[in-house]
Amino acid sequence: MPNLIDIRRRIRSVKSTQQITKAMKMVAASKLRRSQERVIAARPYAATLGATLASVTGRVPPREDGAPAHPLLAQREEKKVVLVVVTGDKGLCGAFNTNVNRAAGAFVREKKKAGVEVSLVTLGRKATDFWKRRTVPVLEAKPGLFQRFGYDTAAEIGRSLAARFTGGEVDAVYVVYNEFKSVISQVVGVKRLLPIELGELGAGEGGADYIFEPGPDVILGRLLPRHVEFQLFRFLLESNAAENAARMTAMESATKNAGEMIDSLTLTYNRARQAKITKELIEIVSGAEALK
Amino acid sequence: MSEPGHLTLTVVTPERSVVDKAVCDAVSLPGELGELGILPGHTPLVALLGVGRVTWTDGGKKTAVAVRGGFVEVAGDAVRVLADLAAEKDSIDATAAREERDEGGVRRLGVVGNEQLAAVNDDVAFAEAKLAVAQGG
Repeated sequence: MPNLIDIRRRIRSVKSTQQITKAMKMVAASKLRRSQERVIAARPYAATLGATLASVTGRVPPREDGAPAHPLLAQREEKKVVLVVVTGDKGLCGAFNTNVNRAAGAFVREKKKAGVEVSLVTLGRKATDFWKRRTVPVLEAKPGLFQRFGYDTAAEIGRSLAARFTGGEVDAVYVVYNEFKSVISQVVGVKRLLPIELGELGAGEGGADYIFEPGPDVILGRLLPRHVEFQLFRFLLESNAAENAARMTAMESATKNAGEMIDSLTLTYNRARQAKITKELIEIVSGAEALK
Repeated sequence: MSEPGHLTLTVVTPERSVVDKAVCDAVSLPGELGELGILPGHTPLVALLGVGRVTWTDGGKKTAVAVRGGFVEVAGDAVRVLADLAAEKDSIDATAAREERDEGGVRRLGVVGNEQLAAVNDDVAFAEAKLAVAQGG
């Protein structure tokens, strides 16, 4: 028969675990709200930047020698690519980090099979730790990025990626991250950051006839790097929101599981207590019988 | 939609929206090649921004925000400013801005190369613009 004191001790320990998971859920929920607000705050900028870029690119013809209007648009045969792996800094958020790392692994294998060299840029402590011990070369690692990140963080990474690309060191840059679909659903997505595809911007749309000051090519040269930085910033924001959502869901189910465990332990405890009382009663009764 | 003969001004940065569809009669912007004045009925325009103050008037009332870098797009009666950094009056700490300016002035003496000098100059100009906004436009 299970010992009463042991069961009581276990109930107590599960209860304190439940308190912790509940608190973590609350923290994740408030962080989620804040990160969602940041995603929303970035939207007006995204819309305006996209529209401006579309109208500018429509007006800058490719160079006469057939080269694209800007080095960041150059389509080259993929021989060397960079994959930016975006995870969180902390665990306890379900399969959030594992999913990204697994998708990154699949991407690397697939590219290798096609004869493409892949190197990585790992953002977030979980990706950094995971890829540190593996054979894939890591160009840059930013553990602890999500403690505090702003546009300048993304801009710095974006600039260094763009420099590698324009310098011919790499032929394409991809990003694998968690897309924030909703609070209960995060989907791992692989997006190409470089070269920039003008098709997806809806280039060449008619619209108003703009004056450009200075010329459209200068503005394009300024807009495109900004576009890359901003894309990356949005990926970080989304990943951050998705992480908090994943953690909230994970902690909620942990709290629920702890509750179920407490219920079943309490049941065992009461049963054991009842059995003990019955046993004592029988002892008393049979003792009294013996004295007759 | 806004009233005819008026402009609506929006100032956004990647992190937040600073001015949301303010109705005004005229906007003045620090273009990279010089001051830009926008009145209702302006031709569609895309221009690079420098460092300085975006000011606008609404029935004689003048308001300003400090901006640093980015673009402005004028289309119809909408003026959209995409700044790298922007600060409105409420968010500026005048003392901090003054310190930033003075510290930038000191730093300027020690820089090497044009690129660095330009960056420091921008820092100082942005601090000055913030200071000007903080002291009431």
